[in-house]
Amino acid sequence: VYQKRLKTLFLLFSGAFLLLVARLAHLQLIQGEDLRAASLDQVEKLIELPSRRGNILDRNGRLLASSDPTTFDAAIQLDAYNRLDKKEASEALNQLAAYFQIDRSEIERSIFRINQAVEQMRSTEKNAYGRNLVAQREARTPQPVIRDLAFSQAAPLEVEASRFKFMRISPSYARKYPFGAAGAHVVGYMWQINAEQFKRYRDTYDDSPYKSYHITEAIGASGVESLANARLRGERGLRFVLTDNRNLAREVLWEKPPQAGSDVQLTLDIQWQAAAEEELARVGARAAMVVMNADTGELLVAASVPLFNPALIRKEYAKLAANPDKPLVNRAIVGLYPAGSVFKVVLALAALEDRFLADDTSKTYVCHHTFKLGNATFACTGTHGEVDLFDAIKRSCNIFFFHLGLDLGPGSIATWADKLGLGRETGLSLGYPVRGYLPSPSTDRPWSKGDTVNLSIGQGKLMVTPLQVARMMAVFGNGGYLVRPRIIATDTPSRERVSSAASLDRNIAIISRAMRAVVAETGGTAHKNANSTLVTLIGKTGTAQAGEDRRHGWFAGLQLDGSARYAFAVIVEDLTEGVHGGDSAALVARKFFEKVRGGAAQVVGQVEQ
Amino acid sequence: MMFRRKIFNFLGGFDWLLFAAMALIVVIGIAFILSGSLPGSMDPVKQILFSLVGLALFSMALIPHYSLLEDYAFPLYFAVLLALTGLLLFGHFVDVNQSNFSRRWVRIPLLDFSAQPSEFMKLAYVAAMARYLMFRKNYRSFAGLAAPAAMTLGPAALILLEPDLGTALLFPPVFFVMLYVAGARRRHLAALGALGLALMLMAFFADNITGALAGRGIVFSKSVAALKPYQKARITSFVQNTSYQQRQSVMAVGSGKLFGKGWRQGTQNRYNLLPERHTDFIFAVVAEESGFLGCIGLLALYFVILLCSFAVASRTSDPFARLLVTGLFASFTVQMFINAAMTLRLMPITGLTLPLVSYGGSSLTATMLAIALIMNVRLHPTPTFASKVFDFDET
Repeated sequence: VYQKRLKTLFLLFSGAFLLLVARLAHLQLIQGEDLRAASLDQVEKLIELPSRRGNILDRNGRLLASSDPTTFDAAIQLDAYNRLDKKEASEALNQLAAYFQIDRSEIERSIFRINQAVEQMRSTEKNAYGRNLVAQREARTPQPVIRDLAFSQAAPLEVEASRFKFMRISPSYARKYPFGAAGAHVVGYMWQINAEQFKRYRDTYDDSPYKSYHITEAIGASGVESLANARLRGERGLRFVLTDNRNLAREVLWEKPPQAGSDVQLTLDIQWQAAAEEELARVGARAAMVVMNADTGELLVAASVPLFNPALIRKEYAKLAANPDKPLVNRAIVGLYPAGSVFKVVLALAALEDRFLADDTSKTYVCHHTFKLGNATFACTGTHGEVDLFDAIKRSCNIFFFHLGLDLGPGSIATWADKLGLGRETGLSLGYPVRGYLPSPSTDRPWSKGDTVNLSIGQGKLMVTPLQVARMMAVFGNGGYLVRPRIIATDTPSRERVSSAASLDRNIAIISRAMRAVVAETGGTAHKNANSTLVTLIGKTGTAQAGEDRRHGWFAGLQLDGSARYAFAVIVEDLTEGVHGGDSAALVARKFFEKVRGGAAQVVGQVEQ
Repeated sequence: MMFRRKIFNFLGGFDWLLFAAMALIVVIGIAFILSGSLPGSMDPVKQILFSLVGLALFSMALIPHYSLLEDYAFPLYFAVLLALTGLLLFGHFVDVNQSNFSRRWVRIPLLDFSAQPSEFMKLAYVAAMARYLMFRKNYRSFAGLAAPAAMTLGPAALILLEPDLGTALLFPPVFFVMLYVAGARRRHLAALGALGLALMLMAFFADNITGALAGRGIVFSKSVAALKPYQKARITSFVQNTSYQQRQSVMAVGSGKLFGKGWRQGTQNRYNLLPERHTDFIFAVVAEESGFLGCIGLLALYFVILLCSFAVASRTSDPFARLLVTGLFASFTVQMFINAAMTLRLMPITGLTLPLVSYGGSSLTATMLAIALIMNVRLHPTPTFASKVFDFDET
């Protein structure tokens, strides 16, 4: 019996061995493939390495926007966070809040916002597959919850990674704007990507998957930040690592280092820009100024007031967007205004080029202050008596141009306005494309004589931007070329002559002489405010009627001293009763040029925030 | 001349296969302790020292006749029992793993290490049981099983109180195997087994039972028999497959596939995903790094030890030797099985080492001593005068 029981026991134990072998075979041979995948999935992680965004520099190499590499983000991995149960999550948030000494609700709000963004992005996907893909990808990606941490705050958290397994410290490049509000309209600002952009860029941006966007990333939202986003962005890097149970990388298997974005140099001169902004702010709540090199189209100033500070945009956006003065709009580039009397140079050039006028003295009209057309009466700025073209420009006589316009006909006026770039995109891609509006008898039917009269003094349906007006003025300073304005230094210049006629040079000279008289001669509309012993300005004033009760003041022209010629346009919105374009706008131009070109300049210091 | 022949005869009985299997397993153990410990850890070196100590004890244990153990079985049993009691009274709680504290170790004065009396209790218990059962027939009656049952429950209870559930659970199977081989009636064993199972269920549901009884005005102290919350959690997490440790160990085992990831190449092992990987979960490291083939090899070596032990048990006619050998290999094999089964998620987690492989001096030396005793029986054949030992009818 003993031997028999021993044998039974042996069989029993052998059975136990067989059970182990069977289980091993099941786990290692049958489920082996899956379990190995699951096991590797636990340790293999792809970590994205952020790229440094390129700097934005002005024409003299001054930093307008820079990326500061010394800050960090505390980022959350939603998949890991969502795995926590309610109690664990709540406890972890309490610890985090205590660690950063902030309110817990602030972290919760951030997480809520991230979840909300994921939901929003998901909803833009057409099918379940796409929705899943977005959710998974964004849940894996660390999303910043607390931004711009100093190294001293971030480093201990990195060490304590095991306490907050769902958190990751990632270097971030905080965008800094050393000049603050100066030039902010041109430089632009960053803003969290919106649903539509995210959908467009989530797989590639600028054809590179390493530039694709995550939901919490900021994208250039205005100005050069937006215009040159692809160049500034750089390419993020990837690191393939093996991590341990505490989510710490233990071994790097493969790495593609991030590629910093390129710097972008502008044609803008930040000192000029700041000077212009200062002068504009002095004369009105809303005003704008453009200064460009007449030969090359380089924009040196594209100033607009009121200003805003791009560094504070995140905090102040709601306030800025609600402000009726619209501080976020760059009036210099996209502001649309009636041209007013500035438009008279178009009629002058049309009349001379069409040989309706032989020169500036060959024909006169008589100004009795009023002009009757049918039942309507049009008024002049004064009572000028008998005036020729020279006088009409110098003193801005409406009656002369009413007659001239009717004699020339609207077709000719529209043709020459088009040649001078009005009603057309300028080719500058800053902001959004703006054409303005140039009415013409072929498109605006029925066309009446009243329309012609209105158009002759830049009123009616005509709408122009300060940039278009400055470009038009550049034609009189560069020998008849319509230049393409540009803000990025490396963009190639391009220009075309407005007319191939041999008479163009002579006619430009005639009009320039008259515009010089506007400033230099007694009786010129800008004489009182724009005449200077330091700089030589020529130009044309305008007081544009916008609607029933708004009047905007223009002064646009050229500054002629030195080797370079600068075309400019100044607009001051909402003049008070009795003030004309020749007053406030002309004053801005003179003060500005005296400061930056006339030697009266005290150098504008770098504004540190 | 006589002396030389004596030595030759003695060594001729030496089971080289058994020894080789044991030695190989120890070497494999050291290799995977090296793989499973953190860089700079002294554990592999210590394990090598332990194995040398074990080898010395092994050799020494071969020389005296095993009947010496027969004489000292009871004093030894009570001595270790005393040590276990002392441990409960004066021992310090030591961190076993992250959150479990237990009184398992006795500090050896002067020498800088601690010993685990429970490991040696396994040997003393088997010897005492063998001594008690060798010439008696009263275990043929149900009441006669009371004494052996008490001998089992005593040490098991003390070890359970340390607390060390795994080692305590080792005693019942050895108890059944020894009684079975000695010839106890099957129905008695079945009845005892059922009783034990009922007790275990009660321990698990102690909370519920206490609650239900309290509702009827009966006070039931659950502190006596109840499982500790973490012990209970191990069982529920096993059933629900929520145990982190077992999920990781199963992943480690499975991911080894046929050939394994290579020695020290296991990601589960190297990146801290496996807990207790040079002690209780070392089989998972072996499986991850040496694959199915490596595991089969290791199990084959254990099977060789089992085969050799059976041969010894089968050949000897000395009742004490028979019971001693069966008890020892039962204890050894059951422990190996429980450890592997827990790693493979066939059983809930119980803190048991893989014999000869896991890190630990007490476990290693005690196991080597056990194998030395089996070898000793083979080396010292004893003629017996009782012709029919344990020859009862098969009921």
